[in-house]
Amino acid sequence: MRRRTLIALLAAGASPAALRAQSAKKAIVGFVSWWPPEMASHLEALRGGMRDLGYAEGRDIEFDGHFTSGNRERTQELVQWLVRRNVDVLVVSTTPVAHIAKKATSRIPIVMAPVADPLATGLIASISRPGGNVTGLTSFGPELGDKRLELLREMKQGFRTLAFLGSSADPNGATYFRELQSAAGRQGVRIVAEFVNGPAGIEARIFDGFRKQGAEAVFIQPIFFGHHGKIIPLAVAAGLAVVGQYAQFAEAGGLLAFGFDDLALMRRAAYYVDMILKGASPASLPVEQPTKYLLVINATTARRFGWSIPETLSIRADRIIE
Amino acid sequence: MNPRDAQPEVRATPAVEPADARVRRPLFRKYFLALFAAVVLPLLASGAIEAWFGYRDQRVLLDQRLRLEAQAAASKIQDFLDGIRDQMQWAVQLPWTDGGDERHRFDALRVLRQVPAIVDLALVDGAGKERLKISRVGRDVIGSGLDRAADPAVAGARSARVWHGPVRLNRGSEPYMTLAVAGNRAAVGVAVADINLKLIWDVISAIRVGETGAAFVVDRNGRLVAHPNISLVLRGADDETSARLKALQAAVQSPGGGSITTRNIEGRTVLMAMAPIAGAQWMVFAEQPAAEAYAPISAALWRTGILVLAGAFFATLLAFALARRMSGPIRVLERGVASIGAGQFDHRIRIATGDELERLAARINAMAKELALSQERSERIGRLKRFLSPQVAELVESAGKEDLLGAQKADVVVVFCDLRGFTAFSAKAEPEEIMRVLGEYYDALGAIIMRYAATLTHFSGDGLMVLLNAPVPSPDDPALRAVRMARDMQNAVQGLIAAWAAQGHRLGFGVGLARGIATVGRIGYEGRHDYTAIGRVANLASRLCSAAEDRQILVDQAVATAVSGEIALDAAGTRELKGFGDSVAVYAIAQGRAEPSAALPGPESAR
Repeated sequence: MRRRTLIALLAAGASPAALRAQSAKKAIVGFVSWWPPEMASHLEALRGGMRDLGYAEGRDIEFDGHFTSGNRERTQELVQWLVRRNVDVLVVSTTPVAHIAKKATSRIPIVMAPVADPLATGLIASISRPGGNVTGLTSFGPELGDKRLELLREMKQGFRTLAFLGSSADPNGATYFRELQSAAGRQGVRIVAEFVNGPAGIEARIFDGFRKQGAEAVFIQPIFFGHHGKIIPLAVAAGLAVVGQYAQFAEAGGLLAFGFDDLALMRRAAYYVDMILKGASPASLPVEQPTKYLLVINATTARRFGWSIPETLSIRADRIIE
Repeated sequence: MNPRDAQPEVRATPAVEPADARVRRPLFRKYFLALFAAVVLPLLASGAIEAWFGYRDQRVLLDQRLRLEAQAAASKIQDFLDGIRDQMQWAVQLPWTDGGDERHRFDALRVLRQVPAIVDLALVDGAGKERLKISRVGRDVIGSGLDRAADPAVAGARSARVWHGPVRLNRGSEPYMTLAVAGNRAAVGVAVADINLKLIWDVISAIRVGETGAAFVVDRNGRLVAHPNISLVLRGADDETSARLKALQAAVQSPGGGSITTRNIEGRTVLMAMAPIAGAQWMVFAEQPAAEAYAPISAALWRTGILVLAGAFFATLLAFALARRMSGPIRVLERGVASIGAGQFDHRIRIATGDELERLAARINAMAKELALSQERSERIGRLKRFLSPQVAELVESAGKEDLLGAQKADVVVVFCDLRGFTAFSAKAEPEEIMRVLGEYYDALGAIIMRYAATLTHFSGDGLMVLLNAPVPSPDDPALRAVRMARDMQNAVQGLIAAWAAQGHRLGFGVGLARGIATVGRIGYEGRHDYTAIGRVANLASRLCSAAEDRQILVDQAVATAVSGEIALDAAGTRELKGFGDSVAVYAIAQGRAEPSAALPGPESAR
């Protein structure tokens, strides 16, 4: 009996209940996503992750979540509002928000969930020791360009031209394009690219332009996640197969998605929030790289555009949508 | 006299106050110390013994258990690596042909699919040429023909079937390891895989040592490979952590594989044991928080502590109760003794404890009763001594024969004596001189009266009256006794008279004795009683005294008859005595003649 009490006390040292007793206040988690409100499941995944760690919403923790649909002004206002509100942790999705947040505060810990390449855009000093108030999850999405090209080439003999739709508002647009270009050079593929300043600039005209330049598929920069419902019909209408980073692209009628499980990443972000609420410094919390990769192929789209799914690909694929 | 009436205020204000404040070492403290020692010391001793042996037993148990836990954890990590190795075996089943790469590619892809931890898988043929490299995130390379025969992974796998590479860090953070597996024939070649060791987290975080303990893995270079706190692993090459881990490794190895108590890398005090993983040359540490590991001992100490507290409380209660049981009656005794000491002899101490204290109270009560009796008695004796010689007074008192003092007719001898010429002396002498003379006179007579146990009835001025044979009968013939006493008196006083004469005082001394029946008894009033004899014989003795000249002792016929044959007498003829007519036969005790004298001479002869 006594021993159990003792152990309970010891265990309490690491539980949110003890945290609550120590701080005697609710932790407020600010969440800002560059993606549109269609990605509300991201916030839900973060909430689920916190619940799994023993936090009860309303009692231990409160979420202040926002989706800005790539609107820079609105994003800046929201981040500044959350900084003024003095939230305990700021969870940010995508590189633009991370930069805005880092500029807005050097005091409030910022958790990236996720950011494509925080090293390339100077958000952190190193993966193992971020050094500042920013830590979290990285996708290193641009580095997957080689693999994506290879997969496309396997699906269509004589695949020649890939289009790239990038964002001029996101510093990663350039990173994605650079990586894709060097991969294309290695694999003898041509890249045609178009950059738009925000999702509002995505028009049928662009895809028609791609098609006219001989592109057979288009890779959509992950920053346009959430707008895939608008993008894919436009691309399909132009006769382009869509390639994305997240499974949703394949599910919504794209050809293939190679990247990560976004919801798993959001859920993992809860770990950082938990550690920071327990007093860990973001400067010494290493940034996590993805461990699990996801390949989803839409067989229907493939048939429609005359792409094959060889056995080497079906072995690799985590999911084939029929 | 009744003491109750004499000192009624004693009861109200006892002479001695209850003396708690002044008690130097109260009973309560003594009892408490004794009981505390009796109750708590054995508890402490048994608690200490229990804790010590508990600690030793627990230490042995913990040591064994922790080593088992470490071994179990090590075998789980080993299983993880063996699982990867077994999957990789599928890629080294088929011998290489010139164009048979497709089958191998499928095998490799399947392995990649089965084992998420494998990032890259390269297949090297029997000649040491890389034929195929499948990557999870990078580009696949097919038929590069790269010569990897000298690659330590390939060489190592060829010689030992399985080769574990050193742990390295991807982007300075994630631990990676190269694992190479050779087929059962040289021709099937070698599979070389890059493994992301971050995935061991699933294994290591599932391991529980005790309730909150954990396990972690360290490679041969002191680098953290796996830890439930993934951030510690991802922090990568950290000299400080590495040094700490190496120190831990050395510390755990030094006691011959037993467990040690130390601080872990997170700074908590833990019990730690270690088990090696042979192939990868890793160390698996199992740790349990010391507080949890020693919880049973802590519990025992808590128990002892609580028992000691309870014991102290019990001792206090008991001491308090006992001290009260003792000090209450003692205070009653104290007050009682004070009252009795103040003379309140009828005070009775009431204690009903049934023990020695009650007996003591009974003794004190008995003593008070005795004191009351004895005081009463001594008061009575004091009163008796006013007229009885001490021995007679004691006799009368102790025999309880105070009725002897009652009025009765008795055959008594009355002796009267006084000084001659005292009136003249007292008229001219100084008061001090008179009192000195009288003092010497009575000192001398008083000693003689006491010696003869005679009863002094009264004295006034220089005269006094003494009675024999009343109230207590004389042990021998009272007349003879009286004559002898009178003669002693005469001798003693004559000695004094000679001295007084030398001082110029002319005094003489005469004695008269008579025997007969007289009424004897106490006369007087409350608190001032005398014993006296009334009757003819008293008057006769008085008259005879008056008639006696200096140096002369005159006796009546009855006395003379009684002492004749014993004492020499001279007939002094008949005298005319007031109230007795003129024919009273008087005899004088012969002076200077030896006893026994001749027959009592008849009065006639004196005539």
